[in-house]
Amino acid sequence: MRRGWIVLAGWGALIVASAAVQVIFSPRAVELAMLGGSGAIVIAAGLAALISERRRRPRGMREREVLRWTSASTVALAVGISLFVLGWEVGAWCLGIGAGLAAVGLFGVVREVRAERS
Amino acid sequence: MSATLPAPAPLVDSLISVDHKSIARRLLAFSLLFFLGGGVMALLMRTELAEPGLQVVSTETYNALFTMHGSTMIYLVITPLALALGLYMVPLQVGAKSVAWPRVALAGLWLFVLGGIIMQSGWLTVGGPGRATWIGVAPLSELQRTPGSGQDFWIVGVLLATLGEWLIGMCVLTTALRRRAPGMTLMRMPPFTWTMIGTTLMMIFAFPVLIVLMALLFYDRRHCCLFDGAQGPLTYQELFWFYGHPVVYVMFFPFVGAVAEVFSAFSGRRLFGYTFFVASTALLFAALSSSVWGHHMFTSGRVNTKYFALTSHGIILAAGLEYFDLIGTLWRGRLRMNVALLFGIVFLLQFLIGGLSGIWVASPTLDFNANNSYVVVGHFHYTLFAGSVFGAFAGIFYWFPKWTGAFLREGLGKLQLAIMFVGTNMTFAPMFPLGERGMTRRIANYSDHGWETLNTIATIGSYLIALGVLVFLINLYVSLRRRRVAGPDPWEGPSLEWATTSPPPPHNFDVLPPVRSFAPMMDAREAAS
Repeated sequence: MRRGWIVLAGWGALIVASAAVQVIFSPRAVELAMLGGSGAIVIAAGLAALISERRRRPRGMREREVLRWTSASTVALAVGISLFVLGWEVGAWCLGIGAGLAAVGLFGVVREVRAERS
Repeated sequence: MSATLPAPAPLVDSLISVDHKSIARRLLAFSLLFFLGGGVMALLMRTELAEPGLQVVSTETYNALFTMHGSTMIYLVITPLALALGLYMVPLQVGAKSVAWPRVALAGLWLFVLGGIIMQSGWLTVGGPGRATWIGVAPLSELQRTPGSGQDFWIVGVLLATLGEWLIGMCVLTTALRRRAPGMTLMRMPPFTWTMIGTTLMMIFAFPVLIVLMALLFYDRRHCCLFDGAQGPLTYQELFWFYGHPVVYVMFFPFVGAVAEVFSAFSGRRLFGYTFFVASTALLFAALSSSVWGHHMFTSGRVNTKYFALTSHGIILAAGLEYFDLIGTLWRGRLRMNVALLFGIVFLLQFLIGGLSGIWVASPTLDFNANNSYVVVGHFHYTLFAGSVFGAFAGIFYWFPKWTGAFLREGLGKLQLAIMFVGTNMTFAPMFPLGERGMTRRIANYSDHGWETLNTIATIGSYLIALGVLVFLINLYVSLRRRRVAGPDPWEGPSLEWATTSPPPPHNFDVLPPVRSFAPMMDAREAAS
């Protein structure tokens, strides 16, 4: 059992507690919501980690994975995303190239992951 | 059972490897490259301010310089430097064979690098780069006030670099929480790993706020009116500082953790008060750090002043515990005065000045006087440069043998430390009296109000810092060219990274020692003796 969820949920609770202190000082709704909401998100992440830990496969099966050294598809995906975002500024041509490259990269990453799992 | 593919050629490795150590090395290299660029910008600014009326650069260029210097150092240097240490060391410290989601970490690296390049490419545009301060404050950053593509490149660059850093941070957090070796319980994780957990916990929600804010700012420049009116700029500030204050601690915690490891190794003792260190630094400190953003807006009259003053002062408690633990570790230890330890000690002293001067901005009464003056500039440079950068060098000198299998030269390291210590204090200490005498931030020129001598001293100091950095680069070159070979455990360190070869193999460990405490290597040495 990893128990990593305790760290997430516990820290989220600390954030919520810190947000709750605002109540003493006639709080502003937006500040209460920003901090309290963030704490709630971290608690939710902790609960998701707990569920994930309970559903984990046995260790022996998990270690049957191939360690890949390289992933050109991942770099293509990252470059594609960057060009796509840059395309907002420089124009549709960059946006199009970025979208295409990101799609190719994503396809490659999915293939790599599937190959490792099979 | 695991099967491994053959390692790729170095050139390919430098581009597409998913090995966390390779990604971290590249992240470190790029952040050092950006550091040199940001340093040159600082030198140009300090040259401009050395005397009144010099006009080395135009006012417009000066605006671009202080914007890009701050942006480079925050988004492209200290944050990625901290993450690079975490990405390299956390998997090793918890006994993992790789980082969690290595492809995500690789994507994060390239998003960061391309974001940095896009941000800096603003220098090549007709109107120059972003010049609306490192926080891109609205309405100054709106199209009619800062026209041209440079500001848009700045926004896109910040967005991409921050996204990349966030992805890397989440990989580090997941590795610490999910990939620990057998026996490595939560309360057996090394201090550095805990500080990385505190760092990345803050990143979970702070960084996405900036990413969304940059998208909104970009939209605002194209289509208008998101941050208009009396409340618009305040809304921008509130959202920005919700990211902007936690990031100060993202740029600080990892170096506290590195210094804790250094103190433990070079005093031959386990970290004093480990449980308090974890509870205070990694968890309470991080929670408080996420709850103080409003103190950046005391003078706006818009924030809950009492609450933010309380939380800002609460940090003193957590910081005090951290200092107590670190000094307690050195107390009665068998000290070896290596460069890493000396950098760590100077880090503590310098950061103390940064921390104590922070009381001026944590207290609303004092902040109303100090706001927008050079007192603030002095304060944050004592925390981020005099503090974090010295802590970073402590970590670099400590872990360099692990990364490369070679020692950095001690003599050159001590020379660098001495020059940088003098230079740092000459540069940043005069900023406090300058602020007290009324010098405001972000001015390109001034009439002599008794400011000239202090500004000249600060400028000389900045060139000394540059000299110190040059000594470090020479040290790097000499140490890699004429290697003094380091074994797997040259410092007799406390944690698991010293159980493997230097540099570690791609799968990190051939054999792991049993983990029965947060200092398993010390346990193993004691059992053997």
